[in-house]
Amino acid sequence: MNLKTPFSESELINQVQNNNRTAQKQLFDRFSPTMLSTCRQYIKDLHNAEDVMLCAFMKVFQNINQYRNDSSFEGWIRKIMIRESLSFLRSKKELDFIEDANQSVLSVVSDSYEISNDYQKLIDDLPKGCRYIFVLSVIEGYKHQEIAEMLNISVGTSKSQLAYAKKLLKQQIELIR
Amino acid sequence: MEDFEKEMKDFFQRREIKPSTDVWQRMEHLLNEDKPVKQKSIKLYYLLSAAASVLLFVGLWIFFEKNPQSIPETKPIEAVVINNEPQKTDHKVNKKLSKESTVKKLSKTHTHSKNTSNVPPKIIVNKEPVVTEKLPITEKKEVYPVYDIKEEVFIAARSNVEIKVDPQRLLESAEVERKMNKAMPEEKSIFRDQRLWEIIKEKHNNFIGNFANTIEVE
Repeated sequence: MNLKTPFSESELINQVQNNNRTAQKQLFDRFSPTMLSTCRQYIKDLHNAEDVMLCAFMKVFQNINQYRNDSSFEGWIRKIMIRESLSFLRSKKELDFIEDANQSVLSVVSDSYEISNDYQKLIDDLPKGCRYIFVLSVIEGYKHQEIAEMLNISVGTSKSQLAYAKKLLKQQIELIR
Repeated sequence: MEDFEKEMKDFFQRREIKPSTDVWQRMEHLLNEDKPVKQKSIKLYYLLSAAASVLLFVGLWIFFEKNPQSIPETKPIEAVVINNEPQKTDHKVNKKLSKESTVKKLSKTHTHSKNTSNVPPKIIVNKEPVVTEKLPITEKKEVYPVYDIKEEVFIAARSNVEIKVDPQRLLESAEVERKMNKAMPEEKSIFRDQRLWEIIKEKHNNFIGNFANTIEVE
């Protein structure tokens, strides 16, 4: 069997479970660009995001025996990436939420945005509390209950922070247009 | 706004960021580091179990060293019971009492005192009165005093030196003293002591002579 031929997803998982280094590299090459993008949604610095991605891939390789075929493999990896990113932010004490959303002000309101789908910059400029909730809710599609459990906050806080993030983004879009 | 959110979602779902060129090398390095960690943990496990067993062994050894009583062995004598049987004031009876009962019990009590150095042995003395039969020793019926060995036993139990009492000699000297008291009741005590000293000296010379003969024979 030629080890350089790409594995199918199920075969790739089996090979990675057997600690096949070639399979591990194939899995890494296949998913790392998408997963780095996911990490980058939460972490502003790209180098930090890459480090977090590597740590998350280590967990993927270590815990791949726990993966069940009942869900998407990419989704399973993405969850690990998100949890690792949130864990990194928690260690940096970035996950501070302001219960009264009106106290928080958008950091850069007057900047002019080119309408070049620079969504990342829009998200980066959101206050950090509501930023993660917006990404988790709007982009990843998590429910408020799940977000509350992941971030150790109340469902009400999650809802109010999401509403606040949307309000700020709306203001930004109006300014740009 | 909803359209904007959809656009944003599509954008992020399609977006890919190419990692740096050496990212796989870093990943591989992390993977290689992961294996020795497991080996180390296994080694550490064996090392810890070995250390725990050594500690357990040493602990048990110290425990049994400090508490020898915890090892099942013959029970030490906890008390010295003075013979409950009525004591006769005959010489033979006294000898028997002295040799068999007193001396043995002294040695036993002494052995016990090693084990319980701080606690003196409990002495149970016969509560019943000692019956003394008035039997003739010489011509007249006299009552000899029964020696209460309680004191001696107690002292021997406390001391670390084994005291051996020759009851026969003790009784003989007492007998001599009694005879002297009887024979010379009015004489002065100095004279009496002189006689006693002479007798002792004579006995001593006899003993030395016998001892010298024994050596010559050997």
